[in-house]
Amino acid sequence: MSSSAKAEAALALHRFGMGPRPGSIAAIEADPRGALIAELERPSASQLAASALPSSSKAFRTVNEANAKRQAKTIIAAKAQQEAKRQQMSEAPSMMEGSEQDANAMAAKIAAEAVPDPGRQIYLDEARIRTEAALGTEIGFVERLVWFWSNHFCISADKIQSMSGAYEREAIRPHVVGRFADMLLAVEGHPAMLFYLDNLNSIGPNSIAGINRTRGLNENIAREILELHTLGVRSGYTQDDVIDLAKVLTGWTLLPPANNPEHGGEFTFNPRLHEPGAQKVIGKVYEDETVEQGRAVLRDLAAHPATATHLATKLARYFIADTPPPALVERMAKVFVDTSGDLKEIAKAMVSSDESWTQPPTKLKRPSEWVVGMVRAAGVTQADPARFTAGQALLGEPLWRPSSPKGYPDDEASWIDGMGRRLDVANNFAERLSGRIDPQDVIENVLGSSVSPEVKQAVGLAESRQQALVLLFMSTEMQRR
Amino acid sequence: MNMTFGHHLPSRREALLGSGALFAWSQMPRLARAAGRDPRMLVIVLRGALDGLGAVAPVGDPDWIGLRGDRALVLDGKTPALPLDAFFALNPAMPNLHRLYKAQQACIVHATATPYRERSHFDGQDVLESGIARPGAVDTGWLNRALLALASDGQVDLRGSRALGVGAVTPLVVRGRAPVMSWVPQQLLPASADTQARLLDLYQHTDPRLAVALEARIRLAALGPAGGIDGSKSDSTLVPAAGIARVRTGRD
Repeated sequence: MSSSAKAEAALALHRFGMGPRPGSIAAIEADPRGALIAELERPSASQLAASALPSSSKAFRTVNEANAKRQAKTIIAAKAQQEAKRQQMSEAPSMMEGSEQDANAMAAKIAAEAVPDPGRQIYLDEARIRTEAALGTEIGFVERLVWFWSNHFCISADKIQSMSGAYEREAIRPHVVGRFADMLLAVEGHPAMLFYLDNLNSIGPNSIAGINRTRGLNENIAREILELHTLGVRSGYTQDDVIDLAKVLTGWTLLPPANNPEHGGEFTFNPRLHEPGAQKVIGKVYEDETVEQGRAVLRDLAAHPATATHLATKLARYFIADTPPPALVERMAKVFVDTSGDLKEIAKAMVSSDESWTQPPTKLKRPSEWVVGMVRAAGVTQADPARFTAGQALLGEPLWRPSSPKGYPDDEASWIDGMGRRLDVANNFAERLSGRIDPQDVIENVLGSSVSPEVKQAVGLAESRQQALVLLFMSTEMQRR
Repeated sequence: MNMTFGHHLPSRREALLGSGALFAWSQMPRLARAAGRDPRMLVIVLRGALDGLGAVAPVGDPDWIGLRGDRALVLDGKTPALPLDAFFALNPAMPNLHRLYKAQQACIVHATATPYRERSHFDGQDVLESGIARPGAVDTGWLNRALLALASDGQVDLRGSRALGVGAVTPLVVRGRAPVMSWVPQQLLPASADTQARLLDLYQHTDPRLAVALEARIRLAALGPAGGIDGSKSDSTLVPAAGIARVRTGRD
């Protein structure tokens, strides 16, 4: 096989996949573009074998149940503390020390030890299965799409840890090679998103509940749908569109977990919270007053040309370049419109375009992509989720925890100052590996001809295996694509 | 100050590192130094939102309670607001700011906004940090551009001058042509000086932009105590303070 075929295979793995692993360049060098498309066509390529993991509503109920138990334990422990204090006071009043606050803190500590938070373990279990999917996949094009859409429609585990992994499995994965409209409906109707963007607190001012209570409309989810999820900021919608979309979505909530051990935490439409009457969004009037009103608006937003351009730009920036070629973006946007948002066809259009291959490999990988690429290059397929997520946090990209609904940025300027921390992580990983992995093997069997003579020389001259691995993992070839 | 993020209550330090951004700007205006003033400039951008009237309340306005309703801060409530002057009072959750204000070391610029009038949180933040009225107009921050302007006027001592961003993602306000170092607490044992030097050499031959980024980090690490920030695992809160203090003075 010619060296240019190998180079294209390596580029396919870095640019569209999770990075080369042992043997993967050889496996696809005959037809790299075909291999990418074949991965898109493989049935249920985006699904995880996650039958052991709880659904989002189950995870939510489990955490809710633990919180309730912990609260009860706290009250019991606080009473016991007070009783002990009274006893102490009557026996030796001068010994009386510490405040009520100390007693409460002690009670909370006792309760926290008695009923630990199950959310953390659920998060780690989800992190493991997700990470191992990225490590174990042959190319990883579909996993990259999952990562892209999960970040596009991000939620934060800082707000809703229990559901953070299940959300991705339930709302994102089934649709990454399906239709955008279906993903949008799944996302905006998912309990995790409704919780994250405060729609549980949004009440139609003229709904039954709105008249009886003082709380009102919360615009958060409506604003982010228009600004981040579909049309894009400054695309022409107005504040009135935001308000009316917020009204349309009143009543989209979840079943309270407390009294519903079977279905608590699942999506429900509550007509009592829903703003009555027709609403107007982007110039169109929506009469229906049920959950279908919101679904109709979302379908129209999904089909809007501004959405096509917004998403094509973002996808091309994620895969190809910080400033993607305009012709490529136009072509992808056109496919989006022509196919009514068929995400598989858009992905195919991207890998079938010559611009996607002629663009120089200068795009800086995001920290998590680089880490996964490094671990894959070492031939490691299993992950300790606690260690892995700690590494991602150190690099500024903690899993499912972006600091805002905008998700993690995707440009070099945001990340390049973190090279020092990447070096620390590479150093740490290489230290744990260096007994087992030969840097020359990684060059020959994993990265192949994509490694420059300068890197080969630096690796050859390194004073230890660890140092050689660090230089290799930190090389431009591993950092950029 | 309400810095609650959902159910997660970060420490102030985590909040600064995670969702806010903190910048120490150690350019040293010569005039300031000549006058014996502290040359540090510290800019903290708090992400999210703060209700200005919930922080600094016009308690002296006769219409205040009537317009604000039950949630109005008052001087004689259950948790009384802290009087600033005859008209304004501070939220009782901000006793340190109150103390500084009373010592004439703090100033509150109330009811002030950028020209941005739309409702996008992110565009609003972009305007605040870029210093340009139109969102998305530039990729640089006002702090970085100010640094360049000062440097070209000869007003700053370029030896040892640096902008320092704290946090793993470089925020817009410090982005630009002037070199920026970003910093987060050291948590892993760093690569050896030899490995760093070899990598820097490799980057200088293959990837100049990565070389610049790595070089900044090596310089920053050299500011830590005892010539490095090794061993900070056990005490990650003290090391940064020392490192930043040296950035400040540039005297070592």
